Amino acid sequence: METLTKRKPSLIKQQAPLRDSTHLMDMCMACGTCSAGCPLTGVDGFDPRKIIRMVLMGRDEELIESKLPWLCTMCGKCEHACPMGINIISTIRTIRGMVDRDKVPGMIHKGIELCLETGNNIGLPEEDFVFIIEDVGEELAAMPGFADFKVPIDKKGANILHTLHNKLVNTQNEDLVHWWKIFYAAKEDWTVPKQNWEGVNWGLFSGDDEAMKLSVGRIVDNMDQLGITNLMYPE
Amino acid sequence: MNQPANILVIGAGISGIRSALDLAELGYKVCLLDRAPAMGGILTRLDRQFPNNHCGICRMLPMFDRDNSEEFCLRKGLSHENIEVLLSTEVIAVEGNPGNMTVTAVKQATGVDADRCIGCQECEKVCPVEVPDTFNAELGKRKAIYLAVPYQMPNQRVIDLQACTRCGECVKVCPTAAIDLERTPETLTFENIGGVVLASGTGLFNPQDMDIYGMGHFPNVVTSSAFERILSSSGPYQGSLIRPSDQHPPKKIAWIQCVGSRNPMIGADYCSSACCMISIKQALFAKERLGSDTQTTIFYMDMRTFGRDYQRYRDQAEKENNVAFVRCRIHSIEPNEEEGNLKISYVDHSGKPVNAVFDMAVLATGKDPLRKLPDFAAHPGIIATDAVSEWMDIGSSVVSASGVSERLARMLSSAGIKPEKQATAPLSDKVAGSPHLQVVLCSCNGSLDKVIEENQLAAELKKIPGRIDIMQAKSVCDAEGLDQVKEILLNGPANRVLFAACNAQVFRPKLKQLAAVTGIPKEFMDVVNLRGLTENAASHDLLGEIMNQLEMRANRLFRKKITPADVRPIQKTALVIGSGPAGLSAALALAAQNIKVVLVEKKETIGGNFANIHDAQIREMIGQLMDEAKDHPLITMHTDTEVINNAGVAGQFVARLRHANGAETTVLHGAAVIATGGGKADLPADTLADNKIISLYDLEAELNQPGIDAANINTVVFMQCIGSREEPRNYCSRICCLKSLKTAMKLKELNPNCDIYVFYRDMMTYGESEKFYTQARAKGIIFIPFEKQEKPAIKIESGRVLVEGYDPVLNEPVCIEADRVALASGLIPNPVDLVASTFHVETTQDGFIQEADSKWRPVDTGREGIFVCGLARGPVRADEAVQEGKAAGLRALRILARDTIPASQHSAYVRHAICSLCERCIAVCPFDARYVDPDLGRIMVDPVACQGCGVCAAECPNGATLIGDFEEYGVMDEIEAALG
Repeated sequence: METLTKRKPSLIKQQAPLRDSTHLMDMCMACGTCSAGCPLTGVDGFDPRKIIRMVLMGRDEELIESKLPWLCTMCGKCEHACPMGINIISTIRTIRGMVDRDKVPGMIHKGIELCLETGNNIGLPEEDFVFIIEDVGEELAAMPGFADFKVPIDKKGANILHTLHNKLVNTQNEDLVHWWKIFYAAKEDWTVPKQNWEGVNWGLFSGDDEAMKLSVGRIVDNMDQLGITNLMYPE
Repeated sequence: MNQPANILVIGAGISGIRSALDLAELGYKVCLLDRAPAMGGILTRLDRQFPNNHCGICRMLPMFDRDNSEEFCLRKGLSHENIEVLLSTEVIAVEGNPGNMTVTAVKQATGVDADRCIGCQECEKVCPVEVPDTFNAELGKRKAIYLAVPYQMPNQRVIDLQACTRCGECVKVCPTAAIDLERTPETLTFENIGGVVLASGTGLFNPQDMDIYGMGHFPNVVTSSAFERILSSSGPYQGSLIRPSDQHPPKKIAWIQCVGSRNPMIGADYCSSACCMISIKQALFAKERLGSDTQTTIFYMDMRTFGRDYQRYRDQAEKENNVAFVRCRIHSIEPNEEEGNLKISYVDHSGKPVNAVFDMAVLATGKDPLRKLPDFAAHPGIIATDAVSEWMDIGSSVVSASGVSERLARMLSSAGIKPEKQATAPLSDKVAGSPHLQVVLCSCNGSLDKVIEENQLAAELKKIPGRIDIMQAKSVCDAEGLDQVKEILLNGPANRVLFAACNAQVFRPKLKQLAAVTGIPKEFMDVVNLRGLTENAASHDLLGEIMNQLEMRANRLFRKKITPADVRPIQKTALVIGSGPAGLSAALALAAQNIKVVLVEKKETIGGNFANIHDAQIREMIGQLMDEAKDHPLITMHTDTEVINNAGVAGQFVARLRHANGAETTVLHGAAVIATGGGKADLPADTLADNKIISLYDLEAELNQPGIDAANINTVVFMQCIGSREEPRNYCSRICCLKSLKTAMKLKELNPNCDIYVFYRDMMTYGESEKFYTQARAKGIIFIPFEKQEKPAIKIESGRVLVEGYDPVLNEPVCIEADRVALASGLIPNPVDLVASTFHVETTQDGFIQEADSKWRPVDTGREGIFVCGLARGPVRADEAVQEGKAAGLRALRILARDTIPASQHSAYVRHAICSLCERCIAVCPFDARYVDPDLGRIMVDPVACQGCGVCAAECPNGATLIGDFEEYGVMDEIEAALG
């Protein structure tokens, strides 16, 4: 057991945005609400209130090096019931953001890099993307009731710009048509961009604010160029 | 009520009743209002209360001059000469200044004329509209015309005009034409009001406002007040503890604490103070009802057992009754697969997640954060009880209410408003004559004619020996009928009256009016509930039964006699022992009412713990009390003095004082207030092995030195509950948590870089002081809970002071090197042996003075005329001690403000000729009302202390003791008639 002499000030605490300026992270009373509600409590030592207590004790390095911040699914159940309004989610994101990018687990950071490079998390070239969605569009048109259906790509002045989850154009093509059917039935004026169509911003999960900002900026650019004011961002 | 009210009390819950009774007992005319159609507030829904698991509200009733009030269960209703109760009435505006205020109120139309309704229930039987029963937490149904509280007396119905369809069925069957569906609200104006007590309560949080508890979706999630109704025999299941979904008894019940409290996210940064104890009580009742194998689990953050005897209550529940206590706030309640069951997840002491399934969950709800005070609350002349801003337990509400009564009485006397002398109506000359009974047979507007043949009844009545006149009335409910009776009583020969009418409780207020006009005392009048008897229509001999009842009462009335009242003059001086905040405020409360006060202080100086108090606000408050008391012409102070003897009865005591120089003084007084105080408990010597380890009091003193430099105090550990809350000192000292918080924040102010840790068992920041706890955390102070059996250890290693503990939040041991360790050693009472034996009062096992009842008579002792307040009674904060002092002062004032005290008719007396002086009666008297007069060689009864309970009469082997108005000749005649 290490003897505590002086607590180190926590950079995590300083940087994690508050939910509300009157609800400071320090106000946590370690009541256990978050731990009781969190679906991951007990998994590999995860416990949201423990993470908050570690931050308050200034144990930043330990948290940044540990696996704990990566176990959270960011579902927000903890914050929903927290009586003190503690910024649990933003704290965990802030910790993630402080981890060296090469230590970000799994494929998330790779996905972000690919996205920044190619406009989508799986690095799908534009012609492949267009081929896939047009192909699925033709399949839909062959179904009864959708005779003249066509996927509108980069349609200027449409009412809605629609982004896509990368898995829909990758492994789960059949799920693309659900939205399209609704658009068709509602006679919606929509479009999908052929560049920067990615609807999943993994910067959210890796704590990478810069990457998030870039991805969001690209969608805004698309909207500006196409003259569209409504965005449908299903992820 | 004859004279208009001097005082309005808004809210007829516990606080309002207490305050109204206090002021009525001082002789003021009080109007007690409530917007609900029944009085009693939250209490009507609670059958039994912690910590003794009984009710006891009747103990609030006057203990002397008892004939002024009806002595029946106070949960049912209140009847006092000086109190008018106005229900369904809400104050809307207040104008004017203290002493002369005008109050406007609206009396809602209830559809039923309370003066005519006899509570016969016919209307309810025919009403076709059923709505959820709000009294029973909507767990059952009631009619649109209903009784607001099922056991209320008088039991007049009201109509829920929102639910009522105006079908008119009730109007048709009402025998007294009491129902008028077209009635509109009435505006009432009260003029010349001296002052107003605001006692409207705080309301209860509604958990349906939060989506996490499933309230309203899962039938087996109930609030704690609904659980009280389930436990109650007047509840939705007639007292069977079953769960709402399938009406089966639950095997596993969870209590969820802090629902709607300690939650700044919903604007509730406060503790509701009473819920922890309520849940323990409910868990104990669940075990009592359903068997000890019922699993009861309380989910809590801090068990706030801060009342003097509450820690032992909790310990007993935990150890002897196996109530499980789990320190984890619950996130949410989810349905379990099994029908009606509930899933609750929590983390245990080691942080391990546990999924538990319960049959039922009880949400411990407290104060409603949305409740706002009325606009007029701040108007001058309105004094609010603490219970309008804080939820609190009954004892605290009662103390606060009496404190408010004291302030109001002081305000009135400084405005020159004095209670009017009670003019007792002169007795009619006829009363002294030989018994002559007037029987009044009421036909209830002819409706009873169908069941009883009145002429036949009259013929039977004539057979009773004794002089009897019989009158047949169409209805005695209305003014016309009652006037006929008055006429007969004023002009006829009868000096006793027996009504054969309806419910006696409904009818009794009319007897009072009748007594005032006719000069026949109300004790010479009685009522037989003819209507009630006829409802048992199955009876084969209705006439016989009615006659039986009438003859019993007639025989009793024939034997009534007037006992000349034993009137005792009052020695209008008070003796106050102890000059701390409690004693000073009691002394000043009395002096403000023109009562001479002899203030006795054992030490050289007054002020109690003043020298040890550093909080600027509290110092100022006590300093002011000290200055006022020193300057007050009616207060005589004796420092360096003790009371060595006290004899006598309430109103007439003689005390001996002994001064430091050995001289003695005799004081004649009418009442005494014990405020002998207490102080800091010493720390065991072995805990102070290093000068960095000090008591909390010493750290507080150090930090409050002028010019203190705290730059070198960089890490401080506070340790709570040193010696408190475990045997032999198994009580919460109540002040330490707040003191640690304030000291820690002072330290942060002096040195913002100081790291502070507080090791605690349960943070006892009850009520509004929760805000200090929140603020302390916001300042970065870390709080680490520990259990009694795993206390943190202090070690000294080469000059370093280390505190080793375990942090259950991190699930890790923790070791802190501290520049200071502050130990919260708690409070102990000053020795009370001498004062207890001198005043013949009981003490608790911890050496405090035992009050008469911790809830209902918190500042009375078991002996009438002797009161107790402040630290002598139990741990309190200084501001609470001041409040208790005011309350004790007011209790004493009830005696001292009078010139005389009349004894009640129902008091014991002794036939000395056949008394053998065995003294068994003295031993059994629960009110300490009997003693031997050595000069007369007789057993004496203090008729002021005597409550007429009759234990002495039952114990007396010779029949030498009798109870006034229950002498055997009258009672035996009544029994004779019953058996005949």
